[in-house]
Parts: sequence; C-alpha cells; structure tokens
Amino acid sequence: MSIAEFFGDWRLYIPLVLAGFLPNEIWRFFGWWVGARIDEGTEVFIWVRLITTSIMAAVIAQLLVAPPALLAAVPAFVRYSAVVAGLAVFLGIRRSMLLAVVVAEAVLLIGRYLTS
Amino acid sequence: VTAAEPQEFDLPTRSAAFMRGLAHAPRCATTYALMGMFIGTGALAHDLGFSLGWTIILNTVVWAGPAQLVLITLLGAGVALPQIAVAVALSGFRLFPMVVTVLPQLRDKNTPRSHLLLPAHFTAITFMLETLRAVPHIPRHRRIVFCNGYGVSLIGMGTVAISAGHLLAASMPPVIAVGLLFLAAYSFLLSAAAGCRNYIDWIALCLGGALMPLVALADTGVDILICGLSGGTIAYAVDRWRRTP
Repeated sequence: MSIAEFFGDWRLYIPLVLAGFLPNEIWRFFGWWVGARIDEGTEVFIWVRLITTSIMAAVIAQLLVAPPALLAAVPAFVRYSAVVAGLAVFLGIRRSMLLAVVVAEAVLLIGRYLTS
Repeated sequence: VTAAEPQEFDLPTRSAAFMRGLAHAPRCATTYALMGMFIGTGALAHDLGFSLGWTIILNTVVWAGPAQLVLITLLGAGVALPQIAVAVALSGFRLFPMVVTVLPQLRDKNTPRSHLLLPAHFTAITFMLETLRAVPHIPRHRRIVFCNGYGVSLIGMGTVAISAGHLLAASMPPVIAVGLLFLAAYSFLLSAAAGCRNYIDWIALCLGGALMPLVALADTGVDILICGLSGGTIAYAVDRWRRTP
C-alpha cells in the first residue's frame, strides 16, 4: 500500500473535520467548561450523573427497539431473551460480566440460527 | 457527600501513574467489547470506500462510536454536509454530561483547567465507566496522568481494532458482524449496571431503558435525549424527595 493509497482522497478530510470532529467535540468542550468548575457532590453534579446513567440505558434500549440492519435480521423476542438471560446471569451469579456476555451472545446466536 | 476514598495504589511518580493508566485498558473487559465494535466500524468504512488512513484519523479525532457510524454511513450515502453535522451533533450530546461526570473526580482545587482538556477528549462511554471505577483507588493528584495513560492505550487498542476490521472487511461473515455489534452494546449495559452505586442509580438506569420503547413511538429523532433527560431528572427528584427530612 502506497502513502497515497493509505490516506486516500484528501477532499474527504474536509467533511471529517467539519461534519465529524467539530460537531462532536463541541460537547466535550462544553463539558470541560462546566466540569472544570463544579465539584463532585454538588446537586448539579448528582443530577447530571443520573442523566448520564439514564442516557446509557436509553442507547442500549434503542439498539433493541430500533436495531441497525444486521441486528434487525434477528427476531425481537430473541434479542430481548438474550438481554434478559444475560442480566439474570449477571445479577444471579456473582456479577460476572464475562459469563453474562457469553450467555447473552449464545442465546442471540442460537436464536438467530433457529429462526433463520 | 464525597465518600471516603480508599487508595490501593501509591503511584509515587507521574510516570508510575501513566504506566498504570497504560496497563488499565488491556485489563478491562469493556476494552475488548469496544474493539469488537470497532472491527465492525472498520469493515463498514472499507465497504463504503474510505481509506485506512482516513478511518484511523476518524477514530483518533472523533473517538465516539455512534458519531463515527453516523458520519461514515451518511457521508457514504452522499448526504449534504450540514445535515450530517446536525446528526453527528445530536449523537454527540451525551458526551456533555459524561465529561461533566468525569472531570470533577480528576481534579483538586489547584488543578489548571487546561490539564483537563485531554481527559475531556478521551471521554466516551467506555472511558467514563472504567475511569469512574478506577479513580477511587488512585491518589487524587495522580488521576489526570493515570487517565491520560489509559486514554492513550484505549485509543491505541481501538485503532488496532478499526484497522483490523478495515483490512479484514472482505472476508467477514455477517454472523460475526451481528455478534460483535451486540457484544459491544451489551457490555456497555453491564458496565453501567456494575457501576451503579446505590438504588437511585438503578432507578435512573431502569427508567432510561423503560422509557425508550414509549418515546420511540413518537420517533422524534432525539429519542435518546428525551429518555435520558427525563429518566435522570425523575431519579434525581426521587432522591431529593427521599433526602428531605
């Protein structure tokens, strides 16, 4: 692979900065501006931390409710079963993340195989 | 309300803290889940005609899984730049509360604000979760250096994964891609569950997930923000109400 092939068309770096880097990084900059000024334990901090937790759960839920194409090929009840099985293992057996992920993946892929 | 801070590690020098940070990424299960997702992202970038160098620079400067996916798919589909920028900005909003959650735990009264810029750039789901779990064991004046080490090694391992995905794209069966995508999302959920410190965190987590199917019916385009803001605010209100004598 030559240097030119490695970097490809230079014009594609313009949207990378203007439509990728800047609109994403602006939020980190705002976060820095606020986060460098408030202390942990303050009410605003507690509130923002809970919003963050909630947003993460919503991101995962969206992947299940409105999944991208590849995952959408797996029926909804298989997707939900995989999540519930993994969580049950996680909460039931000493909070083992590894075991929970293995069980959830197994349910998902076996379910995909059986329903396709 | 700051709890007593247990400290397992001494880390007498800055370089010791940086090294411990570098070693942190290979030790976390979430790192490997993230790499799985990046293998998928790299393969997608290859399929849509982006060069390896472009993909690596994308990973380093954008450094947020959803924003990368949005940029690659929309740019690959020929959507106009302003529209792409708006979509990326919407996906990136969640970084704001994440950075606000991380930074106060890294600094003390005398920390120059500029030292927090690099940890702010490293912040995304994986970095935030693992940092919040690790820093209670790190002396406060070494936390920024530790985080910089962790951020460098996490981006490094992510770059290896996205490059591997780009190079292997042609020969990857769909079943592997499905497995990797689910793996990444699921390990984020489990890390969030593992990071819950008390019942109020659990309320926020469950509300965020439970509201999503309802809000998705409205299909606003900012469903995640609505769920996150309302779920987090309700949990906070419950907490305030319980704390009021």
